Amino acid sequence: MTTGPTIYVVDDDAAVSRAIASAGALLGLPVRAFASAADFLAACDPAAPGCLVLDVKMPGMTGLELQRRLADDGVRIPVVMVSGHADVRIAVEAMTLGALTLLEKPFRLDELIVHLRAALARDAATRAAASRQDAAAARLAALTPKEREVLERIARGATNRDIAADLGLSVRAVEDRRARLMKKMDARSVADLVWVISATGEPGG
Amino acid sequence: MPPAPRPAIRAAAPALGLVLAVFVIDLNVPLGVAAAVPYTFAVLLALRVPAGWFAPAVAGLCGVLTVAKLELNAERGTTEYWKVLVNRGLALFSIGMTLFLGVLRRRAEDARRRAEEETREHLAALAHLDRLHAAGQLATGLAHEVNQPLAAIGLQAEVAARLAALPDRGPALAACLEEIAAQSQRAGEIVKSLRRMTAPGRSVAAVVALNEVVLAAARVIEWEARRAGAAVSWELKEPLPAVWGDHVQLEQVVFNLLLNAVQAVAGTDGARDVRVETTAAADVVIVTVRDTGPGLGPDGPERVFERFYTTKPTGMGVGLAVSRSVVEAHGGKLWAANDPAGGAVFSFHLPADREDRSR
Repeated sequence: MTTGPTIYVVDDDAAVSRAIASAGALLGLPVRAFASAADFLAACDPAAPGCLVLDVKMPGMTGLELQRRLADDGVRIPVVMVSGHADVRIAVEAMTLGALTLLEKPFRLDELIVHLRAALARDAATRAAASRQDAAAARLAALTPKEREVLERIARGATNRDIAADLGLSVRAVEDRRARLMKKMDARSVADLVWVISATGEPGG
Repeated sequence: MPPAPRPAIRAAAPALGLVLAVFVIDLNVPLGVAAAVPYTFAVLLALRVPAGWFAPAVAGLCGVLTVAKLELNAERGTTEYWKVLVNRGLALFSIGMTLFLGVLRRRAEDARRRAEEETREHLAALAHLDRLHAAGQLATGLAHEVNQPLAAIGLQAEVAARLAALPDRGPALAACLEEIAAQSQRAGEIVKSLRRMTAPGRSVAAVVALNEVVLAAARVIEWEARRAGAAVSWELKEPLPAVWGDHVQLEQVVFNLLLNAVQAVAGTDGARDVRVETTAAADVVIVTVRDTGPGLGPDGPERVFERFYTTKPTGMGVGLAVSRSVVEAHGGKLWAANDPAGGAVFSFHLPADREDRSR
C-alpha cells in the first residue's frame, strides 16, 4: 500500500533543483522538482511520504508563504529550507513554521544528506504514529455504547465488581463485556488497553 | 599614393580655380572696372576648406594678384590713376573683410561644436554614473544570482566526487560534470554583464537593433525582477528597423525603464507584471514599458524626468532624467503616462536608420 518516500524540491532555479536531484539520486531516492510553490501545491498529495526541500525566495508565493499554507492545510511534510541569503528573521520564521532546518546556499552535500535523512525519518515516524492512531480510533469506534461504558470504567481503574455495582449489572455480565471489548481492542492487558486509548488522543472517560 | 588627401584637394580646387579665372579676366579688362571684387567669392569658397591656414593663404594670394595686375598690364583706358588706386583698394578691403568675417564665423562654429562635444561627454559621464548607481542597487540581487550557480556547482562537484569512487556510476558522473561546466559558464556571464554595465561609457555610434537592446536589458533586470517577485514579459516586433546610436546608452535607457517598472510593482499586492513591447510606425521605432504598479503620483507624469526627483528611498533621481537626455541626443523622445487600466507607461521612439551603412 505504501510507496517509498520522495524528495520534493521547490526552487525557481532549475540548476539548484538539478543539483539536489543529483544528491537524491546518490541516496537512491526519487526526486520531484517544482519551479514554483503553486506547481507544488497543484501536485501535492498529503498521503505520499517524503520530505520537502524549499527555497525561501521565489517569485509569486515565497517559501515561507508555502510553508504557512501547508500548515494551514494540515499537510505535515517535513521541510528543509534553503536560502541564498537568509537573515535571522527568515530563519526564525521558518523554524517557527516547523522547518527542520535552514541551509544557506551554497551548502555541503553532507549537510544536505544529513538533513534529508532526518526529514525522511521524521516523516516516517509521523506517518507511523498517525497510522497507529487511526487503527486505535477505528477499534474504539467498533465498540458498542455498552462496551464503551465498561471500557471507560476499566481505564479509570475500577474493578469488575465496582463496575457491576455502578451499572446495575451482574459481575458475570461485566466480565463478558470486558472479554468482548478486550478482543475488539486487540488488548491483552489493561495496560495495553490504556495505551491504545491514549494513542487515539481521546480522554479515557 | 595615399587616398586620404583627395577630399581636401576636391574642396580646395574650386577656390583656386576661381582665383585663376578672376585673375585672367582682371588682366584682360580695363583697370577701371572693379574686376578684382569677385576674388571675395574665392575667399568664401576657401573658407569651406577644413584646413585653417587655407583661407588666409588664398586671401593673401588674391591680394597679391590684385596689386600685381597694376604692374603686369597697366592698361587703364581713360580712368584717372587715383581712381584706379581707390578701385584696387576697395577690392583689397573686400577681400580682407570677407576673410575677417569668415574666420570669426568659423571660430564661433568651432566653439559651438566643442560645446556640443562637451555636452555629449557630460551625458556619457552622467550615464556612466547612473550605471554605477544601478549596479550598486543590483549588487544584492547580483550576489544572490552568482550564488545560485555556485551552490549548484558545489553540490554537483561533491556528488561527482562520490560517483567517481563507485565502480558502477553509469552516465550520472558525466551529467554532473556537464552541469558544473554549464553553471560555471552561467556565473561567468553574470560577472561579464556586471562588468559591461559598470564600464566607463565611450560614446560609440553604430547600427543598433533595438530588440537586442531590450533582450540584453531584460537579462540584466531578471535577477532584480525575481527578487521583487515581478514577471517581466516582452513582445518584440520582427523584423524591426534598426536605429543609429550608442548600444550601451540605449540599453541603459531600457534598463532604467525596466528597473523603474520592477521597483514600482514590487510594493503592490496585486499583479506584478512588467511588459516591454517594440513596434515600428512610419519612420520611427517605438519601445514601450508598462507596469501594473501604482502609477505616477499626484505630481504628474512629467515630474519623473526632473533631475533628482525620486520617490524611492534608495533612488538618486537621475535615471529617468539621464534616459530622456540619451533618447533626445539620439533624436528621439521619451515620455511617461498613467495607464487608464492602472500602472504606468513609459515609451520612447527613435528615428529608424534609413541609410544603408552595410558595406
